[in-house]
Amino acid sequence: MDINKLKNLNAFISLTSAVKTGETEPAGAITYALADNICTTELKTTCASFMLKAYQPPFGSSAAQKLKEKGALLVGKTNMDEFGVGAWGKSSYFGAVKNPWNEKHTAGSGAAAAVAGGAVTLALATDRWGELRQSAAYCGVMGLKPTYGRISRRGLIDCAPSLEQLGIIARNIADLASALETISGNDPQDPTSYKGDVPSYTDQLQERVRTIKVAVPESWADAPYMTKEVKEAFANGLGRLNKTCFQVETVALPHLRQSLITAVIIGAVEAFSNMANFDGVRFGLRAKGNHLQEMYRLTRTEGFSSEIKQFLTFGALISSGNYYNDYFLKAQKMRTIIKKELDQCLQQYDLILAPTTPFKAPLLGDGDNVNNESLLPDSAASYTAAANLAGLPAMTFPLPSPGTDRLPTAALHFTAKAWDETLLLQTARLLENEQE
Amino acid sequence: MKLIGLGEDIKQAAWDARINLSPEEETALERQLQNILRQAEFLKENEIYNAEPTHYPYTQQNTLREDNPSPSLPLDKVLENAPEANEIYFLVPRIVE
Amino acid sequence: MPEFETVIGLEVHVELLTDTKLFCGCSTAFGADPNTQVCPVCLGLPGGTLPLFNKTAAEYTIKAALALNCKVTPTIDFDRKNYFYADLPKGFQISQFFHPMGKDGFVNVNLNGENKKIGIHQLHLEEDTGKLSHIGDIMSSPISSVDFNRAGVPLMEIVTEPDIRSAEEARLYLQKLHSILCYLGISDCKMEEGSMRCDANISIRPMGSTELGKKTELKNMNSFRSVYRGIEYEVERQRTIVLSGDSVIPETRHWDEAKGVTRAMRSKFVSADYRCFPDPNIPPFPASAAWVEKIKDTIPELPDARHSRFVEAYGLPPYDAEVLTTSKEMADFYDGVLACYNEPKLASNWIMSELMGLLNAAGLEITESKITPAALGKLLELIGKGEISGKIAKSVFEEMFNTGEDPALIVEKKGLTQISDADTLHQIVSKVLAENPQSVEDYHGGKKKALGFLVGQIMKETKGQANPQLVNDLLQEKLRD
Repeated sequence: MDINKLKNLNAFISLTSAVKTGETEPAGAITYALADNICTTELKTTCASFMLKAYQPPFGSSAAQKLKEKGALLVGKTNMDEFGVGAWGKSSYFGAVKNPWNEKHTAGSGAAAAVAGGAVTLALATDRWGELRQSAAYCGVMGLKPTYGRISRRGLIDCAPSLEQLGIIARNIADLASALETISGNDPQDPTSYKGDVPSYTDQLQERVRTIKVAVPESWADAPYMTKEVKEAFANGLGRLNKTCFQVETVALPHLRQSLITAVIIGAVEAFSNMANFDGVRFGLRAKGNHLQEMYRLTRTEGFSSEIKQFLTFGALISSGNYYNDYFLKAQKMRTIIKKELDQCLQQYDLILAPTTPFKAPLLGDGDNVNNESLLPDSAASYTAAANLAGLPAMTFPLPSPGTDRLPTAALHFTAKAWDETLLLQTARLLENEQE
Repeated sequence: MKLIGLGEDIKQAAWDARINLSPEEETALERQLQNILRQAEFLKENEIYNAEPTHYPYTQQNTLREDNPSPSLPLDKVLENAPEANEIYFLVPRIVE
Repeated sequence: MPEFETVIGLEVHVELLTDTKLFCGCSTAFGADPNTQVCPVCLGLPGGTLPLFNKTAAEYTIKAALALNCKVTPTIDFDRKNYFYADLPKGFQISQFFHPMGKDGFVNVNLNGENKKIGIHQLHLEEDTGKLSHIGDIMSSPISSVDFNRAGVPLMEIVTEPDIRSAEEARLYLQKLHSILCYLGISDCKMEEGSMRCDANISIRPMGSTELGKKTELKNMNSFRSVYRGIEYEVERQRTIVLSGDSVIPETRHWDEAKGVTRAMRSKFVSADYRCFPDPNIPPFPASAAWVEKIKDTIPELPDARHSRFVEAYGLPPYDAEVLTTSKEMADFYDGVLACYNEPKLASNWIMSELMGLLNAAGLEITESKITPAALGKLLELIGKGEISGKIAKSVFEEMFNTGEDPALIVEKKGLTQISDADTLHQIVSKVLAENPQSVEDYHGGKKKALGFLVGQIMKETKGQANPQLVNDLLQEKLRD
C-alpha cells in the first residue's frame, strides 16, 4: 500500500494509527476504507463538513463492523463532497479529491480514488442518486449499489433515507463479491434491512451463466451534457460485448429521463428533514447566538457549505405550501411510474444497460463546462438515479481508456432485478475475463 | 408556471431550514430552481394523477420490537459531543427571542 | 342579551405505560437522572436514528382505539412533523399525520342522567419531547437546560370532535376517558405528573348558529379541576369580548392556576408549515384483522358495560353503578365482595359510605386498602345471618380497616356475637323489668315511650349485642303478661 502517493490526491480525511506508524499489514489481509459519513468508534466521522469536524460517534456502522470481524483492516476514512451529496469535488471542507489518473480532474470521491490508487482493496461509500457509481466510473474501478435493504444502513449518516444506501467500490470482482457477502444481511437495528438470506456470492461467481438478455434504453445518448467521447466509447463497448454471452436489444424506457429531477426533488426534501438534527445542541458545531432560533441559523449557516445550504433550502422550498402537492407529491408518484417501467422491462430482460455518466470526470476548478453547472440538478446522475428511485441493484464496470493519461472515458452501467446482485457480479466477471 | 415570487419563496424556505443565504447564494439557487422547475414540467402530465406515490423503495413490512429495555448510553458518552453542557444537562441559549 | 353556545374540542395527550420508548430500547421509568435514559436513536445522533417500532406501544394504541369505538387503521405508518425546537432532538417529531391509528370513535358521558356521545375525531401515536428547565421562567431565562429522557416516550393523542358544550361536559368527558384508559391499563393517566395532558380549543357562537367562532387554544391545565376552571374562565372572557363588540383573537393561551386567569402566549415556536411526509425509515406495518381481534380479546369489561351490568344484573341504582365503576379497581372490589356474599345493594352501601369514607379520610387508594373484598363479603354475611348487628359491624369494619384482620376473628376475639338466643335474652329481659318497676308502670299507664327506655337498658346490659328485633318481641310479650 502506498498511502503517501495518495496524499497528493487528498483521498483520506483520517487514517488509522496502524497506517500512520508505518506498520505493515498482516499478510493477506483485506484492507478497506470507509467514506467519512460511515460511523466508526476508532476514527472521527466528519461527513467532510465543518459542521462535524470533530464528531466522534459513540457507535459504529453495522456493515463496517462485519468487515472488521472478518479480519479486514481499516486504513482510513475517505474524503468526499460534503455529506456525500454529489461527486463533483466542490463542497468538501477538506478540499476536492484529485483523480489518480489525472490530478486536474475530480475523482468524484476519496473512496474511488483510494481503491483506484491501490491504497486499499475496497471501500464502502454511499450512493444517493449515483455518487458511488459515478466516482467509480471516473476512476476506472467497479462500483456496486445493491438492492435497497441488502446492506444495513445503521451507522450511515445519510441525507435521503429512501434513496441512499451503502455500496462497495473495488478493483476486481472477486474482492467485490466477497465483501458483499460479508456485509449483507438482516440487521435488527435497521428496520429497512432485508430479512431474506444472503446468497453465497463468491461461489456463484464461478457458475456458468446462460445468455444474458440486455436492454439498452433507446434514449441512452440523450442525457444533458452527454459528450461525444462518452457516446463513442459506450457505443464501442456495446459493440464489443461477447455475442454468445449477451443478447442486446434496444428498448423504449420513456420515463427514464425523468428520474434525475424526480430523485433530486425527493432527495432534497428528505435531506431537509433528515439533516435538521444538525442544530448545535447535542453534537457538532455551535455558533454563538443571542437566542435559540438565532443559534440554529448561525450554526447551520457556518457549519454547512454553500452547496448543502442551497440543497437544504431547495428541499424546504419544494415541500412547502403549494409546492408540496405540485412537486414533492408528484415526484413520489413519478417514482411509482419509473419503478413500474423498470420492473416491467426487467421481467423481459435480465439487465438494463446504459452509460454510467454522460461525461468523464470533470475538471476541478472552473475549467470545465460541465463543472460550471451546479449541484442542482445533478446532471451526472442522469443514468444512475433511476436505480435509487426503484431500489434496484446497479453496478458500474469500467471500459478501457483510449486516452494517453488513461483517465477513464466511460463505463457500463447495469441495473438488475431486485435482489439479483448475483447476475451483476457474474456479468462483471464475464467482462473482467474478456479484458484480461 | 409558478415562478413569480420565487425569490420570496426561497427566502422563506431558507428561514424555515434555519439557514441564512447570502445574496449570491440566493441568486444562484434561484437560477438553479428555475432550471429544475422548468425541467419538472413533466410532473404536470395527466398520467401522474392516477399513480400512487411511492414513499418506500420496496414493500417490505416493518418488524415490531419487543418491549424489552436495552442499555442506554453512559452519561459521559451522551454529553461527550455536546458543544455546551454541564455535568448532566445539554445547555441552549435563551428560548425567547 | 344574546345567548351564546360554547363549542369545545379537547386534545388529550397520554403517555403509554410501556417499559421502553416508542422507537428504541431506552427505559421510560419516571424520575431517572437527567440524560441517563437516552441512546443514539432518541438523541437523534447522526447515523443513529433508525427507529425500531415498539410492539407494546402499537398494541396499547390499538386497544385504546377499539375501546373508544374507533375504526382501526389497516396499515400502521408514521410521518415526520418538521420543526426546530430545543426539546426536539431530530428536528422532526415522528407522528401519524396521514393515517392515525384510530378514527371516528366516540365516548359516552352521563349528562344529568342523559347519555351524550362525544365524537372522537382521531387517535394517534407519536413521540414525546424532551424536557426544558429554565432559570426562573422561560421569558427571562438567559439559558435553558435540556433533559432528553422523555424524548421518544410513546405518546397517544386523542382528539375529540367539537362536540363539547360546557366546562362540565369537558370534565365529564375527561373523567370518562381517564376511567377507560385506566381500565385498559395502558397509562397511569396522572395529570399532575404530566402523563395525561389536556389542551382545549374553545370558541363561542350565537345560539342557533352553525358556523364556528374564532377559537383560542388553552394549555397548561394540570388537573380535572383546572380544566373545568380554565374553560369556565375562557368562555366568560370570550363572552365579554364579543358582547363589547370586539372579536376574539385566535391564539394560544395559558391557564394560570394560581391567579385563576388565562393569558396569551406568544406563538413564537409554532411553525406555519410542518411539511409532514411519510418517514422513509419506518416501513408500514399491516394491522391484520387477526392481530386486532387478538388485542380486542385483552380488553377488559369497560365502564359503560360494567355500569349496565351493575344496574341490570345487580339491580343497583344508576348512581351507585356510576360511583362504583369510575375506577376499575373499585368495580373489581365490588365484584369481589359480591362473589363472596351476594347482597348487591348492601355491598354498594358499605363500599360507598363506610369504605370510601375511611379511604378518603386516610388519603388512600382502594388498591391500598387492607380490607379485601372477601373480608368485606364475610362481614356482610355476618350481618345478614344476624350474627352481629349493624352497629357492631361498623366497629368491626374499622378494626378491619386498620389491621386487615378477618371479621369473624375480630368478632370472636372481642366477643361481639349478637345474642339471639331466646333463653338468654329472656333472663335479661326479666331482670331489667324487675329493676325498673316505674317504667313498667308507665308503660301500662299508656306511656309508650317507656318501651324505648327499657330496650335501651337491655342493650346496655348486653353491651349492644342483643338482637334488637328479638328484644322487642320479648319485651312486648312480657309486658302483656
